[in-house]
Amino acid sequence: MTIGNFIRCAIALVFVLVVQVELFSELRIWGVMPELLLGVSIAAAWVAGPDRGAVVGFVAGLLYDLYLPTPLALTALAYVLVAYGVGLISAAVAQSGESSLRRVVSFTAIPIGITLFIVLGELLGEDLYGNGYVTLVIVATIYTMVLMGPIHLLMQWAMGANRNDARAPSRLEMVE
Amino acid sequence: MTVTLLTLDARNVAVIEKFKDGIAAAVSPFRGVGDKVFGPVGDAWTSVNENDELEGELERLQAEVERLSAAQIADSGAAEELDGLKSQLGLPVGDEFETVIAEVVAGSISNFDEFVVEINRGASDGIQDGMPVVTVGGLVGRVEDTGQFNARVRLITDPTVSVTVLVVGTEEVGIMSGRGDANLLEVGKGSVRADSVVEVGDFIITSGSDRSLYPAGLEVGRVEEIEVDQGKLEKKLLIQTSASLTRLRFVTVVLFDPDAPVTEPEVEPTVAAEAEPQGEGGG
Repeated sequence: MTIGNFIRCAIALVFVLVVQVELFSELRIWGVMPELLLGVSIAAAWVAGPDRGAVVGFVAGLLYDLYLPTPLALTALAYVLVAYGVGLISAAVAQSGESSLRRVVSFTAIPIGITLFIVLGELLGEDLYGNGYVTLVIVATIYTMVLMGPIHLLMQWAMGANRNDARAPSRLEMVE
Repeated sequence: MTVTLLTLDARNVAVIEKFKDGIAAAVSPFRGVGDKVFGPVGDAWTSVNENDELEGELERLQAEVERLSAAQIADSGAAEELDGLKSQLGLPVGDEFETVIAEVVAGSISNFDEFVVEINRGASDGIQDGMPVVTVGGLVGRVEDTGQFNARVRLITDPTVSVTVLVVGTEEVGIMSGRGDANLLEVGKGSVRADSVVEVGDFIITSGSDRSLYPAGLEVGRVEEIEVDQGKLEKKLLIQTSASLTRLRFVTVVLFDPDAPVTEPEVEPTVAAEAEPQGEGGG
């Protein structure tokens, strides 16, 4: 990652954090806000592969953790795992059916990320699972998906060029 | 690395707290800009969803109700009763505590914790974890996760928060907890006997026992509804909070240290120990 990419990533992450905290915490639908920083982690993994995606996921989650009452790095851990998984998939599927597949992967990764956060939190003794779980997951997934287009564009800018140029060789690609 | 950070945070390592304060301070200017830029959008959204044209009038009326409630509680002799209770328990009066006024700069910013607000005062103003937070209407919550220049306040409507309260005009003391509703609390779980003299409209204040996390006499609300369980011979009280917790703008942090030594009570307190709030993550 070049210094330019690093700076652009920092700008993108702070921007999304501010938008998440200052804007979308108010723009709730049925009391649910989108998980933009999870979206950023997914988009970064799609653009740059599992390793760099995981790094972005870690930083994005850690930034969010600073403002949450849950243990520090809990969100980061969930985002790292999701980003790495998405990065592996993005590397595996390469260029086939990319646009539609990207939507499917994102649509699946968002509820997985939310659920993973809840499960990890429960393992650490946090009371995160509640009666509104299903509503939360459905609304947050759809809400975040609506915003994934701009997030993908933002992360393509932040990570540099288009996804095929910017993505680091993944393990799967190296094996092949 | 994430596991390491989780471990260090769980152990409350000082360097982690400094790290969090440092990053929060660095991001703070951007949040300020974001608040200015996005604030009107949030207000517009709120106005669409909550009929905002009445907001100003509602706030004015709420303030008036709170003022009248405070006046009524004084008129009903509660203040004298409170003084008597305090003198019995050897507790200081509420006015003796220093206070810090803080602005609520953010509500909940997560899908998983809606009972938290953020204030713009922190340890540099003498605020510590556990200090009670009030408005002119009464108790709204407790400070948790205090940073150098900010802090989070956990609202009393959180179901995991418990407060030992006294029904003014009676000797009934119970454990009050949140219900997850915006402005409703409840006193239940064997706290109030079925034959007690509690009535709808009675005022509820903090009891301030010797192990209480809150000083005595903070107004909490009034009894909205009473459900009697004849089988268990107890009453469940639904409490309407006297302070509005839905649109907090400014709050007052009472610099009350629950661990500070207090005068030994002259009489044995009759109240149960106040339950510690559960699930208050260190963030």
